[in-house]
Amino acid sequence: MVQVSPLAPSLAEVKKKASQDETAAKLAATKVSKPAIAPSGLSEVRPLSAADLPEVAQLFKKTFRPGVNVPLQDIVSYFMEVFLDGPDHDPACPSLVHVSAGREVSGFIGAIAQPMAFGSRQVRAVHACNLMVADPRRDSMAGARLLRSVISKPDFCFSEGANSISRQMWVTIGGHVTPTYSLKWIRPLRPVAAAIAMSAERLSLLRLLHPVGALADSMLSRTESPLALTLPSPVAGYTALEVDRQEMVEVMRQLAAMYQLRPAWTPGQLERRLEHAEHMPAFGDLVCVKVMNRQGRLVGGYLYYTGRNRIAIVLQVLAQEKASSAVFLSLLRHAKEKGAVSIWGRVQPGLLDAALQARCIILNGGFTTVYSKEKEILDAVARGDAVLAGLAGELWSHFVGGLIGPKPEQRSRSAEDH
Amino acid sequence: MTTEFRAMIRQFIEDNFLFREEGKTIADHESLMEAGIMDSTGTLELLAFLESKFHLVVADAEVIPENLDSIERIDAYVASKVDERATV
Repeated sequence: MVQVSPLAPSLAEVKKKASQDETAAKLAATKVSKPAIAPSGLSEVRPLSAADLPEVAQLFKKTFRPGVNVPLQDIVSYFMEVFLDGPDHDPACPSLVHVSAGREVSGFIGAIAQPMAFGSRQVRAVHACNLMVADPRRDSMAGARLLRSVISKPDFCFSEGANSISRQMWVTIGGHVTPTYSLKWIRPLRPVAAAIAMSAERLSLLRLLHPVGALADSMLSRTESPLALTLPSPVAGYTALEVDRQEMVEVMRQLAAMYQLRPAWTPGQLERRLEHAEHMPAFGDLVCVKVMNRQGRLVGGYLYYTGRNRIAIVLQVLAQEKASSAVFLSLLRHAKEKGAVSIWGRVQPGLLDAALQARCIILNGGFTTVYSKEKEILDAVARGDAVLAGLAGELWSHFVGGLIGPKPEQRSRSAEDH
Repeated sequence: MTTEFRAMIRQFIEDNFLFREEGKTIADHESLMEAGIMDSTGTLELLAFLESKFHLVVADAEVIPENLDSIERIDAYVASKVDERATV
């Protein structure tokens, strides 16, 4: 029997310290271009540097995670990883901070590099995210300056999930709202259980009613009532296969290639995003599926999270036009077999018809906004010939589905202490 | 110093920002931010107006309260940009 010295650190502690040491080393070693000192008394907008991260993390926590017990260091590390260190950082189109006249970081906008191809040429594109201002009343120009600056550098800039205020800002600077990309679809799969699950998100005690929901849905499914929301039978000739992350990278690359404006992920970028997506505490496990036709050719693919409360969330679904209904239905059936009571995702315009055929509810999912000086690019977006969300957006990132509390090893350590 | 631009600037501010606050007026020197009548969207609207009306290009470093936070300051800013253009 191996006895561990009581003084020896646990593996979790060692890993945590190593991670912290690594971050500290990166922060120290990062070429922190000393922020240009603005004339005394004037505010400025400049590229994000590692030295800004503690203040930016504070601002993120206050703006997007109020009341959430997430360690600041975790936010700092994640911001470092995404915005400064790695394939999602383009030094030519950096994330930006607004520094007040008092030299405090008072605003931030993230710029996630999303290289794209338009036809046969490369497009420098950026997904703008996490726009935040510490005191919008006092610094009412900060948001405007940050947005104006971030759109000025890439060939194409876009954002998803914008609220009404952000939407108006984008439109005022000459951007456009893309209505079909701004939609989301919801499909209850087990209607009574879905209603309970959605209510339980507000009042967790309602989870006790899950067995009742399951029984009610079981009885309902034996009737021919439209309330049962029974899914159509699968379309013959198509096979859905679960795949691992590595294979899903290739599936996504192939399917995205169908679009005129399409993600051109750099080597390692898509792999890394999938790695992030696989560890999403708010969304559950990630399931990756490819769909093949009779001839064994790839016709579609989808990734979805099993969700908390069994409300599945789709990260991405792409399909060839002729197979769109088959692939969409495959997604719904697959999620249902995995136990989902409901499922939702952002609309990919080419699949809107399939979603309607499957009797999905269509809602405003937060505005997708775009900016480019190139009319051809905007035209492609307007006709739905672009991939802007999912692995090309921000749903893979912990800004949406993570940074919601201490990491599991931190919680265990905390429990041990007690 | 009042320039020929001030009336147009005041008209824009009154038409686009003050209509939300019935009966409200604002003095030339009064802070638009402190009066709560110009937010981020308003800033962008003001910039779009200045660029189209006076054919300016407003650099990011110039989007600061010192240039844009009152009718008086906007007037001075526009005048300096127009002068600068005339001497080029």
